Amino acid sequence: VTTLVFRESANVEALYAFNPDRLASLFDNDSNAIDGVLLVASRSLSRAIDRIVAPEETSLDARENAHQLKGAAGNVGADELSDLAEALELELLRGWTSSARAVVASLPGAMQRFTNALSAVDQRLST
Amino acid sequence: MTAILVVDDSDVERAIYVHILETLHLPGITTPVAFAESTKALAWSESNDFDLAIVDYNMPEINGLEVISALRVNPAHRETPIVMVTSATEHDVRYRALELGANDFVTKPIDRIEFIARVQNMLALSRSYRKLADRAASLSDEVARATAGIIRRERETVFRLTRAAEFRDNETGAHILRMGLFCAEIAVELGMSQDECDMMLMAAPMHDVGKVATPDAILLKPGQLSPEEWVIMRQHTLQGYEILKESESSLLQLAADIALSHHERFDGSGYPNGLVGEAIPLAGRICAVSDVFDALTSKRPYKDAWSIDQAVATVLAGSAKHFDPAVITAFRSALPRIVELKIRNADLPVAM
Repeated sequence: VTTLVFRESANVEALYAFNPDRLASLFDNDSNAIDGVLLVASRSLSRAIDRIVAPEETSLDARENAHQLKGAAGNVGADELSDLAEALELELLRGWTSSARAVVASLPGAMQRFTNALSAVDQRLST
Repeated sequence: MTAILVVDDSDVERAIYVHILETLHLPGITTPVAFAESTKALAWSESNDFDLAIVDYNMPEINGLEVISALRVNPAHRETPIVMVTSATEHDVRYRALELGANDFVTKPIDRIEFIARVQNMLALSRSYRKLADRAASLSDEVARATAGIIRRERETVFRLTRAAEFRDNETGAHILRMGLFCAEIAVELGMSQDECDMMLMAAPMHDVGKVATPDAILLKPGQLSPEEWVIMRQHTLQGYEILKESESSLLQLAADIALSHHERFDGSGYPNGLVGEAIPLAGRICAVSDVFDALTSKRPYKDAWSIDQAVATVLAGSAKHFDPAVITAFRSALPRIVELKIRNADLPVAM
């Protein structure tokens, strides 16, 4: 049995970027499964953000991508990304407003914090 | 062994579902089959069986609602449980999904315990559907076998009843057989259904069953019958009807109509009721033609067999008088086959 823990005592920001308890619970502490899904998630969330920030993206397409980003990020414990995606999805109902652009601008930073948090996570044997 | 179909364009969510399903080690279920594209999933579903579909709502091109609709159109998947994956706020989507045939939902982000419980519930439902379908198929086979048995026994009863009447008459077994065959051929030409033609084939041989009640002195009299004897002789139509009427069997109901009406004439000069035209049951009008044609072309103790041409000319001359013109037209169309049946089923000594 393994548990996911931060190598060093995680701050609130890191826990918000990536909550390891979510995947541990979802996969019943199966480390191989967690590794596999995190690999998929890293690529998938990056692609979703790239599509959203692409200049040719229409608000409708961006909202679809924001919806998907919200679901995928939420499922792997990337709570900050999931919350931002949800805020963007709602904001895009009104189109490409300045608020929507502000949320979009914050996505790469949140993705970076997610990646950093992943690097700081270790899997430890639990007895 | 069947599968669980997963349709979700999100790589992350697909990986999550597949992993959880694989670790369940469900009995009788192979590895989950996952598709990122709805079109590929639907193409796969056309030729593959599965016990459960897990379908995301929000997908490009064909969304989850359209996937559910397409699956439900396929008779093979009409009862297969479908779980739709939605977010908690998509109430309208859930209502629409239920209308289209979704059985249950899971909410994103996925909760492992809830997801497993819903999957297992749906698989139990799927197993119940399969058991019911198997039972229905088995019952259907049993009913078909029992029905076939009833039909066989009904035919045998009819055959034995008909044979009983034969023993009292000069008619031969071959005449009885030919009556059914000729009537069925005429029925075909009249555009009657296969079932109706089969019924004519089986019911027509019973046309003279009422003769069991005719006294031997009249039935077997070698010479001409007196007017009083004719009155008694003609009662075989009513007596046949009495024997056969009020049966629950549609075959015997038809035979009763035939027994009663096969001596009616189209112009109203027949017996026992002097019915005119289409007031005479169609089966009776068909039997009248077959009976006369076969009687004319058969040898009897008191006459030789007529030639086919003579008999046909006589029958045709009776159109609109003795016979229904529409039945005569059908008789003419069927004549080559009727003649062939006449030759193939020539009179044989009646087996005792």
